[in-house]
Amino acid sequence: MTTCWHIFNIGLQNTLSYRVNFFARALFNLIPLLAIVAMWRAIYAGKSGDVSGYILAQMISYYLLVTIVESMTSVTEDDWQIAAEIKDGHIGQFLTRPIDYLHYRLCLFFSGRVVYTLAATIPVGLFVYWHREYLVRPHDGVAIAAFILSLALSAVLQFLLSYLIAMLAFWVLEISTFVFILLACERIASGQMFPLDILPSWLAQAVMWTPFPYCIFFPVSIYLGKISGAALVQGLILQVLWVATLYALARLVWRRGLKTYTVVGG
Amino acid sequence: MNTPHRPTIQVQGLTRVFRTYKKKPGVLGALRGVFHREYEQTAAVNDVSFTVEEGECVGFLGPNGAGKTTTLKILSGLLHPSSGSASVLGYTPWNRLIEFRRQFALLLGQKNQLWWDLPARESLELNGRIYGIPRGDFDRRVCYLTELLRVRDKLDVMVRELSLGERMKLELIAALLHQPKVLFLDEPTIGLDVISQRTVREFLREYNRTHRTTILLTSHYVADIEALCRRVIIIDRGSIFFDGKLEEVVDRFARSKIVTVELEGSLVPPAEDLETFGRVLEQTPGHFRLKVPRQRVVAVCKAIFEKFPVADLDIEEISVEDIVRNLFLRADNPQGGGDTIFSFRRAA
Repeated sequence: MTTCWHIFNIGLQNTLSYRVNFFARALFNLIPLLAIVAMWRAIYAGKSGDVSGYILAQMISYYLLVTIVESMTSVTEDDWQIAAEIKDGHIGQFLTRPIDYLHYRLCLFFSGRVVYTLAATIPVGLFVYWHREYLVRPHDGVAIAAFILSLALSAVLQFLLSYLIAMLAFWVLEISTFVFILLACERIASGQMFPLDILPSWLAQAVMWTPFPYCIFFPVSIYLGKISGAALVQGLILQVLWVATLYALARLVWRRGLKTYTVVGG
Repeated sequence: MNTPHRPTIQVQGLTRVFRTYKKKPGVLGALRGVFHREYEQTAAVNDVSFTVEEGECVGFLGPNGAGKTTTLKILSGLLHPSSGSASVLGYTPWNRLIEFRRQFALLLGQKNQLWWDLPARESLELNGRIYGIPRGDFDRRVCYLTELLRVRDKLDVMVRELSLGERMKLELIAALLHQPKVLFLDEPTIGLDVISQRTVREFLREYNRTHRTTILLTSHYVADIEALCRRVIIIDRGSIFFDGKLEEVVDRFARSKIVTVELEGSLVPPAEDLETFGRVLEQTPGHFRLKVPRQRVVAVCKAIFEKFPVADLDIEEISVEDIVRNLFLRADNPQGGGDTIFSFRRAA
C-alpha cells in the first residue's frame, strides 16, 4: 500500500511536467463540444418538445457532465507509455523487482488523472460556468454516492481497456491503429458523442452489454437521475463485472505476452 | 542438520536459441516476407555450464554478441533458455518468484531504471518501498553508498541533468539498497570516463569484500575484470572458451613470448639463423623480434647471447588484454587474422 502511495506520489511529480500539454488538451477538447452544443441548439430550434426524452437544457447538461467525467477518468498518455516500455524492454526492471506491473501502472494512472483534472479545471470550469444554468444538481444522495462509485469504476475500466490494447505491443510493432480503433469505439459507444438512449431501444440495449457505456454514459446518467432503482443496481453490477473481467483478461494477456517476450524474444 | 552444499549459481547445459527473420534485400524481398518467411536459428548461448560460489566475483569477458548479456538475462529470469537448467540461490530464475526477486539485482549498463525527470532520491525511495526496507536501514544505506561512490550531493539533482558516470553510480545504489545476495552487472562501466570507471571498480571490489555479495559481471574492458575478479569466464560465440583464474589465461593461451633484441651496430643476422630460434615477427638492421615458444625462451636467449653482440634483450609476456583483443578480432573475422602470437584452442 505504501508502495502504491509512493508510486502515485512520484507519478504526480512526474506528470506535472505534462501540465501544459494537459491544459492545452482540455482546452481544445472544448472545441468539438462547442460544435455539438451548437448543433443541438439548431436541432431544437426547429421543433418544440424533446428529443428521446431530453429537452434542450437536459441535452446541454448531459454534455457538461460528459466533459467533467471525461476529464476525470479518461486515459491520457498511459497506453503509449506502456507500449513503449514493452517495446524498449523497460518492463525488464519490473520482472526482476518484487513489484506488479499492472498495479504499478494503475497507481501511475491515478496520479495522471489527478494532474489532468487539475489542469482541466480552468478551461472546463470556465466552460461549465458559462453554461452554468444547465448544470443541474444530482437527483438525491443515493445518486451522488452511486455517481462517485461509478466514476471510480469507469476510470479503472478505461484504464484496463487501454492497458489491454497496449499489451498488443508484445506482438505487433506499432499499436497506434489499435489505439485509434479503441478510441473510435469509445467515442461512439460510450456516450461521449451523444446520449445512448437516443438510439433505437434495441440498439441502446445491445450497447449496454458492452463495456463502453460504463466508461462515460452510465455515470452521467446516474448523475442526471436517468437511471435509478433496480436499473442502477443492475448497471453497477455490470460495471463491476466488466472491471473484473477486463482485470482478469489483463492478467492473462500479460502472462501470455511475457511468455512471448521471454521465450521468443529477448 | 546437515544440508548439502549448494553453489549460489549453478548452470548446466544452458542453451538459448534465437529465431531471426531473414529478410531478402529490397522491396521484393519485403513483399516476399509478407507471405513466406525464412527464419534463421542462432544459438546466442550454447551449452554453457559453470558454478559460482557464494561471495565470488566472476567476470564474463567476450566480444559483442558473444552471449554474455543473454546469459545474465536468463539468470535474472528475463529470458527462458531453450534448454538446460540454472539455479540461482536455489531458485529457477525464469519462474520469477517474488522471494527470488527480493534477493538479487540486475543492472544493465545501457538501460536506466531511475526516473528521468525526477531527482534520483525519488527512485531510491521507491525502491525502498518496493523492497520494504525499514526507514532507518534505508537512510543508513543511502548514506553509506553515496559516501563510497561520492555522489552524496547528486541525490537531489534531476537525473536527466546528471553526467553518465553519476547516473551509473546512482543506478548502482538503487540496485544495492535491498542488499541483494547476488548481483548481475552488465557492462557497468560502459561509456564512463576513466576516473568514474575507477571509482565504480573500487566500489564494487570493496562492496564484494565487505558484503560477500556474489557478483557476476560482464564487460569488454579487461581492466574491469582485472581489477575486480579473480576468476574469469571467457565466452565466445555462445560457448565458454575459458573458465579459470585470470592469471591462468596467459599461461593457457599465450604459448609463446616475444623476444626483442637490439644488436651492437646495425648488424643484419641472416634470416635462416633467426628462423631456428622462433618465428621472426620483424627485422630491421640491428633489431629483430621473435616469437618463441615458452619452454624454449631460456635456451633461445642463451643462444642469441652466444651468437650475436647483444646490446639489449627484452622478453615480453603477452598481456590478458592482448589475448582478449586478439580473441575478439578473431571472433569478428573467423577466417583467421591476428593469430600470429597466440594459439587458441577451444576449451571444450
